[in-house]
Amino acid sequence: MNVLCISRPALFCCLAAFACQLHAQGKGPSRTIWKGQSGNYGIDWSSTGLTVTREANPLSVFDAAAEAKAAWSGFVRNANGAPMEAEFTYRLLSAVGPYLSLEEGVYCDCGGAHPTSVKRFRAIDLERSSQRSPSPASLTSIFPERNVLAALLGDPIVAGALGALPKPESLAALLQTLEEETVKVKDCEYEFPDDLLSSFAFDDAQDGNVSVQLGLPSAAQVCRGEMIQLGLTLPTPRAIQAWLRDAKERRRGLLLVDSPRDGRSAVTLFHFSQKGNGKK
Amino acid sequence: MTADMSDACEQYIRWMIRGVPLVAFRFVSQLQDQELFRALAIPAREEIDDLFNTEPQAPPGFAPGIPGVGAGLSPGRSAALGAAAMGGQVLTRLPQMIYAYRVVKSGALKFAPDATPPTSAADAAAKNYVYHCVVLGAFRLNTLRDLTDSLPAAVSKPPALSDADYNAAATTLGIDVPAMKAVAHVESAGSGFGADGRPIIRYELHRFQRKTHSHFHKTHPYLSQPSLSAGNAYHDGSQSTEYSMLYNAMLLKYKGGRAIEQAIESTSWGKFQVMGENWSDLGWSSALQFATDMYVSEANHLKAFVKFVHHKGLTNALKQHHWATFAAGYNGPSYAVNQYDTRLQHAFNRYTAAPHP
Repeated sequence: MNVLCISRPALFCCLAAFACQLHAQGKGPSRTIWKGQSGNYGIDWSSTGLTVTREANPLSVFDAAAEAKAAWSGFVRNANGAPMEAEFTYRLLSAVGPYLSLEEGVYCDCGGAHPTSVKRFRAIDLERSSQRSPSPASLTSIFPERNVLAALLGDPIVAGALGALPKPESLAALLQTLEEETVKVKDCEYEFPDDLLSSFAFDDAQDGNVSVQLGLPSAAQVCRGEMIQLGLTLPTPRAIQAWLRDAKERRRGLLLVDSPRDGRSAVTLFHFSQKGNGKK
Repeated sequence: MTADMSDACEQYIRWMIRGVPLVAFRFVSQLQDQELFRALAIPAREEIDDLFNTEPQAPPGFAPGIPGVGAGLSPGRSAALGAAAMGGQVLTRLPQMIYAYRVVKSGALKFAPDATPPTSAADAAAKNYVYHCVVLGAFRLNTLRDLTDSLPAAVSKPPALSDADYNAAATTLGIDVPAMKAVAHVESAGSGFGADGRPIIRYELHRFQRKTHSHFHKTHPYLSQPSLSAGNAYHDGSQSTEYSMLYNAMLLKYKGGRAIEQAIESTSWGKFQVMGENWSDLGWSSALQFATDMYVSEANHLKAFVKFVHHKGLTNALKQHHWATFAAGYNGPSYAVNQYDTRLQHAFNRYTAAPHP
């Protein structure tokens, strides 16, 4: 038997990997949360997976399980054999034509001074993505830059962050200024991430306008895992009108306003753990 | 959904903690229907049993003692005897109290085939409680004070870190001041204390679950959750919620005492957010002493940080500004997900350019 040829340490590693894999699998049967089409893409969102495939092509453009597994592998490499436990959560926020928006959560109880939690929005341009290599979508590739700038400058959260600073005249200048600023809501500071324009979801469409929500993650570890949203209203560009109408009418696609959100039951969850090998 | 605890409710909890259930019982009788259900859900369930099973022997001045009466009786009968001994309002409210007890104890409106709410207000309150607390697992009363009286009172404007504090720590570790300030910035983005003078904290529900062996998960889901992601839903970005969770967890009866140590250990504290569970490794005599010291000054927060860095062997990484290595040790191997290392670098550059930005 082949297994007899495996050295003891190698066999141990195989068993450990197998045990780890078992931990990574879902705890219950898979339950569909939402399944449908958006543009030329098929989306399958369940309690145990979130995949996007091109029509007539079975290979996935996006696969949450593969992403989570790859991230976990990175944690394991950095952990030096220490015991740890991580969870990855995915929630589909919107799907408008080729634009897919997700809320991602990464939770790691991995040693350190305290556990780590991160929650953020992420928009993906499926047209520009290749197999399992999602490419970020940017607001400025969908909306004219001047409209995005005007909407951001009109937002009270952005205005609060700018304070007495002069209003930047270009979007690039505004983003550069915001990178250095935070906003306080309740007792937490939130930041404008450097990928702010790719941290959005389509919320709703009405009267020729579309409302977009941007996610601002917490800026300090005391508020780990917290996030606030910033809402913009933008004139709908002709290029996405049909996709938005399809999503609004729930024929093809999904808007945030309609996205399933009943707490823990509307989320894809991946759980990984390793017991550690005693190394420090 | 939360509401602040009334004075009568606070007194009820305090007398429960003092081990005088009959006095607690008197205060429970003063609660309105909506608060009554939530108040009975606050302690460990065994303690509510004590409340409704206690013989009617009260301290002098509260009720006439009826020695020997009540032993072996049903909770309702014991409560009735206690109420009769107290008379007045307690007796009037007894049907609502027993009904609330049975709903909270069972977690269901139909706790028995013949379960019937005594009034329409009790019916509405029961439905409200079951939906929010049992079904959603989110209904609670904000506990504004440490009712176990274990933690010190907050002081107005506790001392912030001075340059002398930083310089002393820098000498101890051989680390430059901007590097330490960078960690403080990334961990707390400002003061180690809230406006009310309490140290800033983060209560971790999954750690409390582990430390109390899942004892409170079903009855107190807003304090105890099986995983980090499940617990995350109970935070709302406010320190009053963090403290409410900590205080509530501390007053739970656990293994013959209160879950004070477990709650403190499940919380990260102050300007550098070191978890309370490290108290022993860092040289404190107890978790409570660690938390007590965190109330005193930011200098104590820095002391915990310095000891943690030393204990985890991270001194060299911080000294040499190896941000990724330091981040992997202080923030864990997932540090890159929140760009902990680049945040440190960025903050360090700012503090180096302007020591007092």
